[in-house]
Amino acid sequence: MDETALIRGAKSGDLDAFNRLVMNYQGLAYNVALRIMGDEPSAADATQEAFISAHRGLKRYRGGSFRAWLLRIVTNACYDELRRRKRRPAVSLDEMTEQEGALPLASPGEGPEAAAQRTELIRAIEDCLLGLSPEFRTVAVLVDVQGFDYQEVADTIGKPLGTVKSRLARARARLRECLQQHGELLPAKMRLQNEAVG
Amino acid sequence: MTDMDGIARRDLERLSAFLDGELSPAEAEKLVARLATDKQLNGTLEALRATAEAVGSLPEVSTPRSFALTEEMVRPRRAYPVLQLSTAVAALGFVLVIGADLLLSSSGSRALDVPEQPFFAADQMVPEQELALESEPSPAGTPALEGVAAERDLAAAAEPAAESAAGADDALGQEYLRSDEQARESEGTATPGEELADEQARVGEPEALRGEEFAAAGALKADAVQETSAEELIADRDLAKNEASLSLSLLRAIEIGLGAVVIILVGFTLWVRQRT
Repeated sequence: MDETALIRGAKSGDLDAFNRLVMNYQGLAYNVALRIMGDEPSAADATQEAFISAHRGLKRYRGGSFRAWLLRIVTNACYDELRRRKRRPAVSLDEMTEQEGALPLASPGEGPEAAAQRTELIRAIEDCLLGLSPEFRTVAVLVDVQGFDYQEVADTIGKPLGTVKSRLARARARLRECLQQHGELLPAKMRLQNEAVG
Repeated sequence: MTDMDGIARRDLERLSAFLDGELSPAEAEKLVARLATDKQLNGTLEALRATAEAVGSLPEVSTPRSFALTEEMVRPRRAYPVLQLSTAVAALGFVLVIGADLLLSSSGSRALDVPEQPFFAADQMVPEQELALESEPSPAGTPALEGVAAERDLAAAAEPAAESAAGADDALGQEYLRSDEQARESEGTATPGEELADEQARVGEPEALRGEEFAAAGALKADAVQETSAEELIADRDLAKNEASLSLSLLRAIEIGLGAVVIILVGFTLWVRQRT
């Protein structure tokens, strides 16, 4: 069954049809939520909340990119959770970073030292991403991590293309400044670039 | 305005969009021409490219569980809409009561002011009537009204004054007749028109004097009525004051009660919203 038929079925109250949509998009939704939230439990909560909201608001979906519509709900759920967290800071940033347990295992043929270095680099990138404002972070995640084009990002965040362009450029510039502090972890190409520009 | 490596923000946006193939062909062509000669611009482009690649290297994470929905998760929330509606109704009621309070307060203060006006009017009327009575020649030579306290004396004095006025009328009338007869006797040739005029003057003057008496008595009666109506108005005003203050305090009590209900409902609704 194609996506349009599943959406039609879900709109008419077929929960199985909706759950098939959930299966198709839960990986993407969870990964976007994880990069915005920074920790797995919050990302899981936001993803679940987003799917419940999507089911409730499915009647308001009027066509267009279902992926963008769904991710808009996911990002809004993340922003709500971040606002709640800001009001009631129960978990410190350090604790959140420590909670992350999704670091990849060593790739086949990769030595332990290289695997450790890669893990450190991933941690550094995640830290730098979390240092951005949620709005900038979302754009960087959608384009650089998920490979969305600008128009789909604009549809997802509900802002014009110019805003997407501007936010992405500034997010990348700040990420680069942040990553420069982890010089020894950076890929050789990036280190060389730093030296050339610096 | 610069953002990175002293590069203008517009150039930074162009470089970033160029990396993603999001520049228009014309813009891309211009930028490529600049990149060929501008080493710093070229360096920033490569730094942006490396950053984007580093972020893109973040691994895809598998989901910790299925996020499929259960029947329980999608069951309509019954309490929340009811709470929302109750809160809205209570808030509306609160606003209406506040509005009614404001309306009653303003109209109440106006209503309490209104009965005082007749007192002022009555007070103001007394000097006017005094003037009127003073300016009229009182047949009995009674002094003009000097206040509400003098009214009873005046009422008592009004009857003998009227009698003496009637006596004066007769005396005056006889004197007129006498002088008329003397005039006729002395002249002997009075025309019928003149006689008729004299007759009219004789009849008219005492009637005018009686009219003045009636006016004075009417004014006294009016003052007495005004005094009675003033007392009634005081009583009415006190009653209205009491009623207004009673209804206002009742409204205030309702306001406080409704306000408390609204606060509780809003808090409870927000709590339920967060939980569901």
